[in-house]
Amino acid sequence: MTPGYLILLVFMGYPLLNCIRLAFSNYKVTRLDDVTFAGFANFRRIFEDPQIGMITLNTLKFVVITLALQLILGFILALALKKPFRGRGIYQGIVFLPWAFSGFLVGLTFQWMFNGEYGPVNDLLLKAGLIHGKISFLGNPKLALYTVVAALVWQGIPFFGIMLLAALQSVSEELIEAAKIDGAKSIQRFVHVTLPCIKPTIVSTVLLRTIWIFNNADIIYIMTGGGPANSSDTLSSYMFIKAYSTLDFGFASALGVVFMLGLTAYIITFIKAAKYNQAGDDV
Amino acid sequence: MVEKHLFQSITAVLLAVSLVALAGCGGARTGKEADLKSGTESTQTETDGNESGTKDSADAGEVVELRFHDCIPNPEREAKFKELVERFNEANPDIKVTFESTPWDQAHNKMVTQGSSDTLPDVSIIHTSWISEFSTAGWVVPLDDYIAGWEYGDQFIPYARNVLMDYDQKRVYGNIYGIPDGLTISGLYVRKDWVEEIGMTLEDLETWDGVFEAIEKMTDPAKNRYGLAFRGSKYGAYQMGTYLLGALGGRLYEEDGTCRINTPEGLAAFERYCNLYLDGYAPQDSINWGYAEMVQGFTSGLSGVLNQTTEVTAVCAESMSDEEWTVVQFPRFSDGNIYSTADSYFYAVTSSSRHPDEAWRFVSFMLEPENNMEYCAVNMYIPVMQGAEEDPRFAQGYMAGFTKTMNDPNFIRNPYYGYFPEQTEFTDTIYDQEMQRYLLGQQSAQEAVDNIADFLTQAQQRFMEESPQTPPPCAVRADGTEVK
Repeated sequence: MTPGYLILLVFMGYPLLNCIRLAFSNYKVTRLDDVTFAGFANFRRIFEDPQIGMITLNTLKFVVITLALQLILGFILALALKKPFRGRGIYQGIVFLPWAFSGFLVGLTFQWMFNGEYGPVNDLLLKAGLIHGKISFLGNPKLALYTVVAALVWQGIPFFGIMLLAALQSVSEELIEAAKIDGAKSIQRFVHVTLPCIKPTIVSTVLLRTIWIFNNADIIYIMTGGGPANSSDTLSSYMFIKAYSTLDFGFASALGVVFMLGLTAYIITFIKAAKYNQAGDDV
Repeated sequence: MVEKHLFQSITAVLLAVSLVALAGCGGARTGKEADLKSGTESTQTETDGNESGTKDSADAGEVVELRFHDCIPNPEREAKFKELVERFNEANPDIKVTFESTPWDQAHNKMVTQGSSDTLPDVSIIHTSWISEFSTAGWVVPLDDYIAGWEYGDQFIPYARNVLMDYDQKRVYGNIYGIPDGLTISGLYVRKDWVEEIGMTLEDLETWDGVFEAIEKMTDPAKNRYGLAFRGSKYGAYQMGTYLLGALGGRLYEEDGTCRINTPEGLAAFERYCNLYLDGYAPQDSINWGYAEMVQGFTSGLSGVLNQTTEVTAVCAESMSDEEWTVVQFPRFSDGNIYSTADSYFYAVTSSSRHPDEAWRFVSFMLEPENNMEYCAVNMYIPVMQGAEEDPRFAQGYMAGFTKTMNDPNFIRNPYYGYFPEQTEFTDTIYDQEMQRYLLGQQSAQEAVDNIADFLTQAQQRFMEESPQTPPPCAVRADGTEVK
């Protein structure tokens, strides 16, 4: 296992410690000759930032909505693919494709689809008579964030689909048969047999996706650049844009440290609340 | 067990791959270094044995080998460079130039590495922002004497000579280290047919008042037509700023570093420009438009006026018919001046070169008016040597607007926003965000210009305290004098 630890140490340990060190330094790439200890100054600046309230709220909306939609739609996808049908293999291959696309491509495609002037989404809505004038999805501060959410949901459904499908397929048929003999209806069988069996998968997938969605900055950066006027910025896109436009790595690292603490707290609470350790032991 | 085994296999594969990759890199680098070394050494020997220069080395039958390097390669550019290099080699049997290039993203790092190991190519195209770094490090050689003794030395267009060479370099570093290769400037792309429809002429669009009028008249949402391809994000405010700085007469800062953007003239210009969006003369979506969207907006027939640099001509020529579009010169303010910017890359001879005289012969060949024009025609640049205003490639059709702008005696280069470290932060984020907040009704125009001005004033004054010898950025006329 030594190489494993070595890799962890080099690729995770060092950046982590360095990030914490930078968070407490006045570290601007443009002023490397003037790196000093900053104490908590960078952290204070985060809380004094006039945008931070709105961006935190955006982040919450962004993570919760994206995650909920991905989970629900992913679940539906998994259930639909569970029973064998003709051409299931091909169909499965196609619906899982979005997960294989890079965020960059997905961002560009959705940016084009939601273009306020000649995007196909506007065109379809107009032709269907659902709207009477073009909607500026990416130019409207109330809509921009949700447009990005749509892109990310589309990209993330297959991941939930794959994981949940695998879990569903491993649920023992005997258990379900037994429940059937005991007179359980299909909903009861689902809630009391299937769901508990796949709970560990749901918990770990939700946990992973929360972290990934939270850290997702590429699609936002490509589709809106966080705009208009920060209205579609989340903490991670804000950190990314701040880091590379101000080159103030001290401030950006402080943001990173705050995220890390927040996410750690979330993971601990979530695992406790979901009673992960007491869940079913198969899978 | 299975998991453990899988993990171990993956780790082993990853390690193996990275080791191979590392070995590959190492091998490649060593090979290249060896090449460079031997190259340098062989040229070194030539010089040692032959101090007196080119003619002698030719007589002795020795060929001087030079490396010429490009930092922004693309296929057409490379083909033209190779053609010119070949022509030079044929005309100069005593010199053999080889062409090499590095993609832009890696070019700076590579050159810095070469600079520190004294293995720079003899001649290179460099970016304007590297001149300061390279000249301070002593990696590029002064070209003043060479230019003075060159038959075409007095035939640069005034802007190239006075501003890019004398004002930007000689005044600051005491010498000229880079010679501009071709100019990229902004022009106004317009829909010729729409201008005709609204009863105006192309000449009317040569002033800002005319441009505003045309934008308003062209707009017809019922026909899905908007006057302006407005750039609302990704340097959108920077584009608005071209107009704003002109309205300030190019005077961005007071002597003490106070920014003038929130003066009444600044506020009026900011409002007038932004109101084109607010009053519906640009699509609502354009608050989110960057470069690609605005160009698309123009080529797709959505917008009638587009402020863009020369390279967009290629896209327009491909997707629109000649009757539909052209480029007019950048608009003039009521004071008679054209306020804009014009940038260039530069030829530089490096200090790693053991044959600077031959290197200069190559640079001067590339800059000979006809060669420079040929090179510029491929790259959509405006030539730095005189004569382009009479050459059909630059004086006719859509290139004429750019050439006229560049040769206008009243061309004024707008001041930079500052030399302070916060400059990128300002143009990348703050400037756009303040403008967008006004466009979204989240703050008044006065608040927006106040916030912009406060940021710039603070950054500039702090910078002046730290570097009192650097004067506030000024607008510069084509004759090289500052606008005070």
